[in-house]
Amino acid sequence: MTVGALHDSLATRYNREKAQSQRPITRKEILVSIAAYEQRLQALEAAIADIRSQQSARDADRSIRPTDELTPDVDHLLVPAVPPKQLARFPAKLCRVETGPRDLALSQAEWTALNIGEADE
Amino acid sequence: MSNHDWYELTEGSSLLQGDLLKDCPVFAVTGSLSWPPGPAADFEIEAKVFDLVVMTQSCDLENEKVEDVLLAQLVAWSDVVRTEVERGNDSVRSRKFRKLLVDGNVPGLSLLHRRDSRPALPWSVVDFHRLFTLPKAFVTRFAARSGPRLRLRSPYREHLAQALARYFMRVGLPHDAKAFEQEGGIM
Repeated sequence: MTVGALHDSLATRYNREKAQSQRPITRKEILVSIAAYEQRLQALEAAIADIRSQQSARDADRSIRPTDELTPDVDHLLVPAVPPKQLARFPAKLCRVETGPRDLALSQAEWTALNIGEADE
Repeated sequence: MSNHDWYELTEGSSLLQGDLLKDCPVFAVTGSLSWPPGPAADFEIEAKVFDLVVMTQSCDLENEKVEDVLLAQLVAWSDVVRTEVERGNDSVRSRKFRKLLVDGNVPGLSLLHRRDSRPALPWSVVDFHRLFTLPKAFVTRFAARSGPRLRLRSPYREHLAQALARYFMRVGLPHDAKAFEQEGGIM
């Protein structure tokens, strides 16, 4: 609320109360009311400034996430590459090259569950 | 190309689901792993060479939606029989087991048809118990250097993908309904 609007509001109130009451509102009362409103207005403006500064800090800290610009139900060329929580690189030495196993990786339980029995040939 | 041929020939770096890659290495860190590693961490990796089948969806590969490729082991049937018999498992030689494979009724396994013309392929089994991922860039380079190679045709490639899905989606019940075989015979 601007100070001008505040004056208008007080003037309206003054006229209304003057019409309702024969007791005139003193100049001192009007000044006290204006001071109270201005105090509240300054407190509100300080609070808004504080909230705006906090929001700016949050915006600065917040990195752009891969999903921020994705539109639902639209086919995108790339799956968002969410970075790993931690990435560490270490040197390693290739120590062995060998042929992989050539059996079936069925467990004994799986063979049993197949209920095949022995070879029939 | 015969309609009976499960495969088509391809060459170059393009990758699709159902592409066969012969003698492709997969890499693993050997020894015991611990985290975080100490300051003197000395990692050793080993490469195991497998025949592999690309299992990642073709559209994901073509549209650059994946950074890694899912691969499953492909093993020649003759090698399966030899190694299983060597370790004392004669069940692998039974006709019933072959029938189960033909019908797609062995969870985790999928039979691939032989191919006589070059490049030839013996009767083979895809084993979903051995799944690997490799960086797509690596697999692409490997495929480009592989010369003419086999690619499963549709609908055989989808049939293979369905076998993997069936393997992955299966649910074991703590108490099954086998009693119905006996108790259901009321007619």
